Amino acid sequence: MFQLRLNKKWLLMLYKLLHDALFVMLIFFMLALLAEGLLPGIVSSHFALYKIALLIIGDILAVFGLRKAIGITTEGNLGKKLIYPFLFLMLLLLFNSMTKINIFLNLFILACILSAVYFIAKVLRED
Amino acid sequence: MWFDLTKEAALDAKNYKIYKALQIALYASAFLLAVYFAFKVIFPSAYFSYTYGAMGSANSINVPRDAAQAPLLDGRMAAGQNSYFDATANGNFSKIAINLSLNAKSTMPAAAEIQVRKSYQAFLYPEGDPIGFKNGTLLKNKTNYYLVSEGALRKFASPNIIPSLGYSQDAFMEVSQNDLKYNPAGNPITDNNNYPDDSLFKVGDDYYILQAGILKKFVSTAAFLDQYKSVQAIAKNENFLTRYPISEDMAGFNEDSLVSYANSIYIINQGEILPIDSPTTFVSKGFDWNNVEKASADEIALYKKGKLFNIASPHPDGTIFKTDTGKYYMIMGQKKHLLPSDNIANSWMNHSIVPVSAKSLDITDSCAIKKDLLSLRTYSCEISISDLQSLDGSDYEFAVSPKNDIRLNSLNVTFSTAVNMTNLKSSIKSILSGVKNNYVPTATQ
Repeated sequence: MFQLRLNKKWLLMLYKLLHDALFVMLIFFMLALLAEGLLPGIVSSHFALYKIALLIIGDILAVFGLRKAIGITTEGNLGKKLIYPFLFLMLLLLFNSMTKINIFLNLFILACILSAVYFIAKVLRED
Repeated sequence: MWFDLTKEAALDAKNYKIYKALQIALYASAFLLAVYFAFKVIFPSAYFSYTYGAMGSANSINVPRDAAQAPLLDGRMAAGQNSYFDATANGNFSKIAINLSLNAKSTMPAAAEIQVRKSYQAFLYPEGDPIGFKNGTLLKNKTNYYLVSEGALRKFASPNIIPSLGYSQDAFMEVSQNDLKYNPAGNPITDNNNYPDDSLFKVGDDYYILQAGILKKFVSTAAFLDQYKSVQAIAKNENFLTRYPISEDMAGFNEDSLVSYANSIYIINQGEILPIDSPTTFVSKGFDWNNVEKASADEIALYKKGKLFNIASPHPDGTIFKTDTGKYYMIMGQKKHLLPSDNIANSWMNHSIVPVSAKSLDITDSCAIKKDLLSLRTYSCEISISDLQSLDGSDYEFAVSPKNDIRLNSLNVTFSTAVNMTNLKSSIKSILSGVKNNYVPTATQ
């Protein structure tokens, strides 16, 4: 019994720390993408971005595994907290990737993408 | 409230304290990692190696070579002779560490010196014979008139032939007798009716060049003007095209011309267009954005697409370097050839010229190799390259000169940047300049 309680305590701590690590890695990934957008190669020439992506995926899988092991049923709020900053980042990266085309066409494409994302999200929520 | 992303996973007060301590350690580690990474970006290092027997892509240095440019395929370096290898590193590096790992059968080097030069790889090629005027150039020396045809200087036997063939007096470049000695003398032009090879014509809006008795059309006016001046072409009417057979092949841009199509910039090299892989490569090769010619689909279709031109690619044949002392060199067949006068250089120079430091041929830094304490067969030395920093180019040529015969297993070089305020400023300036070039490719670094 003592062993189980001890395990659960450490698993809970690990679960919390994995969330923190995920948050840190997402910030790193976001900054790396922004830096690569501004000056291609500045990060990837020193460190392959796929490695951060693999670490993030590994972290997410570990979080899912721990949720089951510990028996947490309520939803965490990390995703909800990060959705708007990441949406903004996505738009920024998309805008950056299209700087070679006419700026009005660029903004029009962004508006189309934003509308599509909004309506897809709406449909998914209704389901 | 403490920053907690997982309120759904509650801990008791004691364990929460432990979690907070671990959380602080995690964020502090992340911060330190970010600082370390920023440090690596601002004070970069670069590593290159060559291992005998390793598969091609595993080596970031091309196979070492002897003074005659022959590859040293078995790693043997002869006593008292220079053996060379190259590395391309873009950045303001302060020192280079070189490691030579000897083959088990190699004798130990009594002593060996390694010298390094920095420039463009092609500019460090051995010097070949000077080159004369370009084919198709019309020259005048006092009362003598010449056409450069198939590399030879062909004199017009009589001044009367010039108007009868339709050459314009304005097309002839006044040159000195000394300038004429770099093209071998060819047969005089005596025929009033037939044109010598490398004559240029304009029919309607199209330009042609006569080669081996066949008319070759230029793909566009831009392609012709990239090589010649419009005054050099003899104006003809449509009937003229029936006098000579017309080639199915077309003439294009000058060798080494820079052309852009869609979002790519290409360099022309022996019938191919090589896509330049990045603005960094473009700038580090000394090219000027203003010399990029916008090409049409027809012009691009004339060429086969070649392999990527990256930062380690040497400048192709046809490249003209201009030194800061006013000398011109043209690259041809892995040699650099002096263009001995401004007039000769002008005959070749309708396209981009790469500026280069003349002293890059003479300035060298060196070190004497010493045996590593922790290895039986590894020798190394370190060269401070602060003298080389201001020179144009990002190619480093290393010359190894052992006192006795040695045989290498592998070699590697590591470029590193000294941590100081000058390098910090230079690095930030270079990053900002790179960002600017990424969006507005007009500035040179």
